[in-house]
Amino acid sequence: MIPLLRFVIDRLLQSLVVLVGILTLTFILLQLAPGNPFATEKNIPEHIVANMREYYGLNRPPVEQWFRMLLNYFVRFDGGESFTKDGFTVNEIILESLPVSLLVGGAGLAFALATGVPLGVVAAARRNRAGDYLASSLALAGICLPTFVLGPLAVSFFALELGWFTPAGWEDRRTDWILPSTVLGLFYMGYIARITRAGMLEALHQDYVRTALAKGLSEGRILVVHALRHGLLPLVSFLGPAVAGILAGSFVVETIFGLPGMGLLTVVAARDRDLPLLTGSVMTYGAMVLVSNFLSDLAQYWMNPRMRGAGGGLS
Amino acid sequence: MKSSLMHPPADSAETGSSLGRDAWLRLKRNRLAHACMWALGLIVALCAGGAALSLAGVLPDPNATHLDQILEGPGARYWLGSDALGRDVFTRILFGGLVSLAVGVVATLVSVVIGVTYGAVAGYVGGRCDAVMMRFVDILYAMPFVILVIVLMALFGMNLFWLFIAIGAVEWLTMARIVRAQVMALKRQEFIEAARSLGLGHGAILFKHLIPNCFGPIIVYTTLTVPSVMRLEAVLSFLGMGVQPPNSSWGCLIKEGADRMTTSAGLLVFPAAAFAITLFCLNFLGDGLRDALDPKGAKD
Amino acid sequence: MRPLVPLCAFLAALLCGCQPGDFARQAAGRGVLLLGNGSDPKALDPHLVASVGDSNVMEALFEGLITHHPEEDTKLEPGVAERWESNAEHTEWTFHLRRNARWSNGDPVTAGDFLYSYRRLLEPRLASPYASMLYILRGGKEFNEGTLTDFSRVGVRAPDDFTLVCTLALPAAYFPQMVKHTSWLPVHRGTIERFGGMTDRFTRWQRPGNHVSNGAFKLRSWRIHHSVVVEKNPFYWDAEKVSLREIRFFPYDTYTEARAFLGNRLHYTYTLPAELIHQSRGVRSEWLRTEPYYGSYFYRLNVERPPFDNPKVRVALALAIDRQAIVDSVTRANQEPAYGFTPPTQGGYLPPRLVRFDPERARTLLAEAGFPGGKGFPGFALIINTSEAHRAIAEAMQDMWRRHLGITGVRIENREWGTFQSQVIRQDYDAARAGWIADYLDPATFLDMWRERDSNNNTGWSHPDYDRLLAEAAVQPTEEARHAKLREAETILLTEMPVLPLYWYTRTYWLRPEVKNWKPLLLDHHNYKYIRLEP
Repeated sequence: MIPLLRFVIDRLLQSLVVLVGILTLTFILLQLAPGNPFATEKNIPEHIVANMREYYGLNRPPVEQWFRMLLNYFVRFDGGESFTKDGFTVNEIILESLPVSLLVGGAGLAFALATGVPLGVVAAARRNRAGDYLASSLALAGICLPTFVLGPLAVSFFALELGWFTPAGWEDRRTDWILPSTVLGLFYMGYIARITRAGMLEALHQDYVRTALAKGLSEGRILVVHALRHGLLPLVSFLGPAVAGILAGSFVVETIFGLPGMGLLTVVAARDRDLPLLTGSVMTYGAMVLVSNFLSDLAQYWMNPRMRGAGGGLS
Repeated sequence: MKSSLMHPPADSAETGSSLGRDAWLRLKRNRLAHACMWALGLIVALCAGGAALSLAGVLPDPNATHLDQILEGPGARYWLGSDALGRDVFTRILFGGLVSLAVGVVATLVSVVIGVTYGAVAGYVGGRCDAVMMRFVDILYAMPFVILVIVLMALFGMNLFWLFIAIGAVEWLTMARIVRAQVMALKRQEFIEAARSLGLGHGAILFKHLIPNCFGPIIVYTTLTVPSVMRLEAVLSFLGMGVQPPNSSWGCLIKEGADRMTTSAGLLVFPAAAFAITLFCLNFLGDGLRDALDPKGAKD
Repeated sequence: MRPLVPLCAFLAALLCGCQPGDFARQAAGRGVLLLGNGSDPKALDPHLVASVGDSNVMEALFEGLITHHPEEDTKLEPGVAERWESNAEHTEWTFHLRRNARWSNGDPVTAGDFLYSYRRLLEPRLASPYASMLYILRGGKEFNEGTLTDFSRVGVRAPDDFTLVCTLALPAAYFPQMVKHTSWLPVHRGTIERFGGMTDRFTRWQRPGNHVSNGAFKLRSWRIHHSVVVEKNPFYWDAEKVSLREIRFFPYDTYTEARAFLGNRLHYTYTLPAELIHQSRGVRSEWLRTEPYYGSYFYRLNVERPPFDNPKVRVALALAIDRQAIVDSVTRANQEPAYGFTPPTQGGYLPPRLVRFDPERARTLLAEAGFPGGKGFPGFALIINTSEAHRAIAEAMQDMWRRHLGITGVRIENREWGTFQSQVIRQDYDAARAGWIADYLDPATFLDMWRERDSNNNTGWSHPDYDRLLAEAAVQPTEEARHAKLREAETILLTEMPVLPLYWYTRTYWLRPEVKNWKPLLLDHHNYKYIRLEP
């Protein structure tokens, strides 16, 4: 247990450094980016812009602004006030949007895993034969067509023609997540299937699988019992960063389905130059990437006996 | 990165070429990947040839508007119909294809150059320098890519050149990690020690010995990066940040078509088909190459 | 493939049970109006909002002295003020407030509330984006800029609880039209100060539960990027006339909104893309509404950059644009090709007819300017903010200039909104797309901006005669004389052409037949009090 503990503490410290780095990099990029966060349709007189800049502390020296931000994030856990939503704090806005993205992304991930892994296994088992080509082509459908085509197509058919779902919005918790998460999941399904296929192919050539084959065990049993555990390792390491991406919400899917999630929030904050809100959502995303990478490392540690033996060999 | 670690180093030029020949044979045996390769060649030839014919005046100018002939269906005048400004969809798809493929290839090359150099240096130097360099990669990894691209494009303006750079700049991270892991595994091998004892400089060892020995995984990952860059370009088109008008790319054409899918389906179907077929082929080719270059898979 | 089959079967079974039916019709039966509103509001504070979508929410929540007439823009609908009068010079206006107007917490609405609100809007520390609307009050500009610190010297006072007197900086017969604008709406002093100071932008008073308003509706909920829901205000003085029980504003994207409407989730779309307008002329004509809108679509030219410092070049570019073709084939919403800058109004101001399509004359002018056949014409950039519609118009213009003038070096550069706006304000562009929607029903809202150093000019153009004519227009005794002066001024603007007018806007949208009393309005400010739903 000691190496594991050391690994966890090590990782936490590293993550902290990375988070400070993300905050700093975001801050620098936003300082460089042109554009005025207080621009509206009609031009605002100069002295009013100056007043707004003063109100939000934008006229202070950049180093001081950066230091305040650091203090706010790592000591007070506070993202400050949004520029574009008067009266809302960044924390409130993110806490309202995050559950939507988590639900849609979580369901999408589940869908992607439930379809992608079997497709990948089938493709590997029938390598370079019709079954492989069929399964791989099916898996690729979600990658080859952009989400902004699949989304409207799915809405037109399942919502407008069949009337099974609502075409847009986030009103009915029982059904409104199904269509967007399927569209989101289709994209990841392709990647998952391909990685599973590659991992399984490698696993099938491992000596113990070949031995099992020689002993005459049934193919299905070998696939599921022996090869899958080894074959899924690359998938687990892929899922680390991917999970954060899928859970943090997709701008395209959220725009098409009119969902109040994190992806939309981030892009709109970037467009409107809402610096505090943008920083907050970038930090949320970063934290999610770190957490899911960490979990994926732990899962690999648990799944791979050789790594467990090596102890500190995780990195 | 496990699978790439098991990849044995090709020590000399001779085994290198025979490895290449073996890989080529294995690729040929994968009929679908082989077919995809030919299909890709055909698409590139079609786009380039069509564009040349259009410039020569045989095919219509893709940017000439005809406001009295908008949204016509496929026919003799417009083979695949005309778009909302009365421009020829067929030549727009050909030119758009060239742009999309160029974005895919050039941005990928940018990412390969950055990623390989960065990863190789980090892996070769090692120690604290490596740790710092890799933390920087971690930081970029944990930034939403759209934000990076938006800020880069906002800073430097939106044109094709900066599109290449912006996409390349966010796509190099995985490559850097792969190459670093490879170099770390290779640098303790005997042939590197030998080179060092012969008095070769760090630069020579890095670029003459270490990087060439990582070509396998680099090639595989590169083929897989091209389609994902093309997808990224399409997403940027959705955000309205792709290629500058009146020029177009498949991403832009698909976005325009998706908006009009209920009124003029042809505007969506044709570019989307071209895009999907190309991506499909690139992905299969990439998978095929991976299988072919990974000798473990050749045992059966 | 195999695992997909049971999954699909499961989903199908799950869903067939709960088919939604006609949601919009059911909502109409409950008196709930579902509106697409383009974007999420920035604030629910009338002194902080600036966009058209935000002001729609404000119209439902608040009521000003004078409010929007349900059928005629030119008519004045009494709001909190029962009646009003002015002196002969139109410089002093007296509003008599009704005694039964109430805030949504039951407090009476008094002249003091308006006084407080106008002061708050003009306070420099609040930094309200629309403070300049109140510059028409004597001393308003000085107070907002900080050169005057004593608010009692600003031209507004409340002699008693139900009388408000406004003294103007210049004569304005159109003052009652201005007062309809969101910036003149009142806020509740007690609520503002319960959650912070008068000039604090960041307080919790805008939250559901805290928010207090005086309009026909009060706030029920506000969820970011989801919706704003308002419900009938029982304390509203005219509550028995209010037929709707609830209005929901949704911030959907253009195409999402159209799909939501087709799926019976909305009663009204905020916009309609060009291709759907055309399609719905045939199939869904009962939903389609197309009506004139008091706004102008144009391009700014930076007259400080060559070759646009030469008026001949500017006029040549304007004459080479086939506006009719753009309206018929690109925008396709029955917009009127602009022949001037200010949109004409029936029985009101008519702009001079100086903008037309004349490629012959355009070529001559361009040759006179030293670019025969477009030879040697320097390349320049048209900047647009990201939008499919703006891009299509720019591409059409680009091709027209190539064809008619031989100008080939035109680049279209796409900027997202923040960058675009700051480039225009810093005048860091060659030519920039622009649109201007009137704040109030008077040509002054279109012409004032082209005065020297006006904060919305941003072209670098100015003309002493133009400024003089506008100043003279303000003191004319009759509307006709005033309009004549304004027309003279606009003639100068259009012979110099620092802007390229393209078309006058129309509002095009889908509206369900259940919605009654939704009349076409030039400024598109609908008084929700009079809207009814009949399922």
